[in-house]
Amino acid sequence: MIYFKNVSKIYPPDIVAVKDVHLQIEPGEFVSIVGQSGTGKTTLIKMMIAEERPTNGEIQINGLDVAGMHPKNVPILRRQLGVIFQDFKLLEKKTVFENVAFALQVCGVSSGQINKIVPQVLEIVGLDKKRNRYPDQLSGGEQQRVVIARSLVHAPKIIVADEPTGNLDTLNTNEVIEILKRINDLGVTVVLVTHNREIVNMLRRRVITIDSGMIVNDQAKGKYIL
Amino acid sequence: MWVFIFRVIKLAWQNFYRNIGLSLITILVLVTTLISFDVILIVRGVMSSAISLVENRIDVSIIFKTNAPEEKIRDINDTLKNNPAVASLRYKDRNQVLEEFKKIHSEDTGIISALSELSANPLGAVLVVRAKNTKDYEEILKSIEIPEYNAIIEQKTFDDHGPVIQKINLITQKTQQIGLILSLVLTIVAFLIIFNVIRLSIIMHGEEIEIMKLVGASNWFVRMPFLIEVIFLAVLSWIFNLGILYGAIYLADPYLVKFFEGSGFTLQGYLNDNFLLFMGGELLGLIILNLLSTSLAMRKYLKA
Repeated sequence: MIYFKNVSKIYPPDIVAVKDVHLQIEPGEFVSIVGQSGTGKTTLIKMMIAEERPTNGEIQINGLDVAGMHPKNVPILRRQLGVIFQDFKLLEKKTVFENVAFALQVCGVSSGQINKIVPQVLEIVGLDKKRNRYPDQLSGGEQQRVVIARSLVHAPKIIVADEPTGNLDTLNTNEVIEILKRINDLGVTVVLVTHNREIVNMLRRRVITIDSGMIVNDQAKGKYIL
Repeated sequence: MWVFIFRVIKLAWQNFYRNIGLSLITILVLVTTLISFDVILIVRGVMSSAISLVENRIDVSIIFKTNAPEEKIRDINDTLKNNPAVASLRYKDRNQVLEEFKKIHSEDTGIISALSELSANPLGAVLVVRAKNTKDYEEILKSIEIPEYNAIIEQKTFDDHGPVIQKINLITQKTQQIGLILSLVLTIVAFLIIFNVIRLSIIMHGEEIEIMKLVGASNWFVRMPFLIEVIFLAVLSWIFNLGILYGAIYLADPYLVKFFEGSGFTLQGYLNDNFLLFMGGELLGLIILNLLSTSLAMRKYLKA
């Protein structure tokens, strides 16, 4: 479960990115967080993965106190999440296989297990035949599928996707959303940050709308209303 | 634990060869820095050998009067023998001195015929003193500076050699001082160069480190491959440096052997004798410096 209680984030000197956000996401939900650029969506995600700390408030993810978390415990939190970034954030000097395997290596999974799990996940995202390629030898859509494979491989309970389709064409966008839906069908909580109206309207799942750092709308089967 | 160790070594090796351009540039800079150190070590070695070669050729002769009694000369000999600053003593009686004199001047008929006209040997016995250190000659000669001995001593050649010995002492002192200052300056420059090369290399990996952290890697999991990689770099640079150094010595030694004729000094021998201190010190220093630079440069990226 993801729980935000009265969370605010103020950057010095007095730039309010997120203001008094109260939010609860239950296990297995598919939630879209929408809003225009600069409204605080990414800051919200950064606080979820402890890349940023809130100025005020309480954040809990799967029972872990993220707001007051000691830096040395941050990797424990991140290993419970799968994170998909708009700019992919792939390791350029590692192959597709190694990029995906890295998420398991940091968890201390044995090489035998890695060699068994990674090919299965690459098959799910349709990249099993390109396992030895480097990121710069893949298209944008393929790179994003590697990121999805990496975020999935350690079987997280929550997947956080920050504008995962921002750099993709329509065909690849639809493919990525289909994969996220399938992941959600397996019981994984998906938090999707986007400003793509078509995706949100097509999904017909919970939509949280953010404006000027505040939640202005939260609908169970919502639409993109901005 | 073993999985962790094996994994970080593998990641370090991958970092090394997949960034081969960056690795080679780093090695080039490290080798250049090590070569500058080698030059200082060699110059110091050659200088100190040259100085000791000259020092070994210096001695002081105490020339006795022709009527000096043997037992008094023996007294002086014993006094000097007990002096810890004396390295060796060689006594030449009057006949030996005369023979040597004749030998030296064998082609000077004037001197030889003048000698043969004399009824007695005009030369006194000689005691040749060699000190362990050129600075000690003055002190050694002062130890026999008593009226009883002065009465039988005709001359001490220190008066002729004194300025030369003082000059050598001065050169030795200056050489050591310059060597020390140069070593210190070079150490500081080397530290700055190595620190910045490693820092640049880490900055180029900055994004990669941030991604690793975002995926859930602990600080040690991120840090260890980089630390192991810089140990690889240090060891490889050291090996390259060793190859270049011994190659240069192979070429230079024949000329130095001629210069130091008779002294037995060779650069290879000098380096082999001090291998653990010089080369071991270089390797250890380089590894420590690399590890320190990497740890400092990575701190910024490892803050959660």
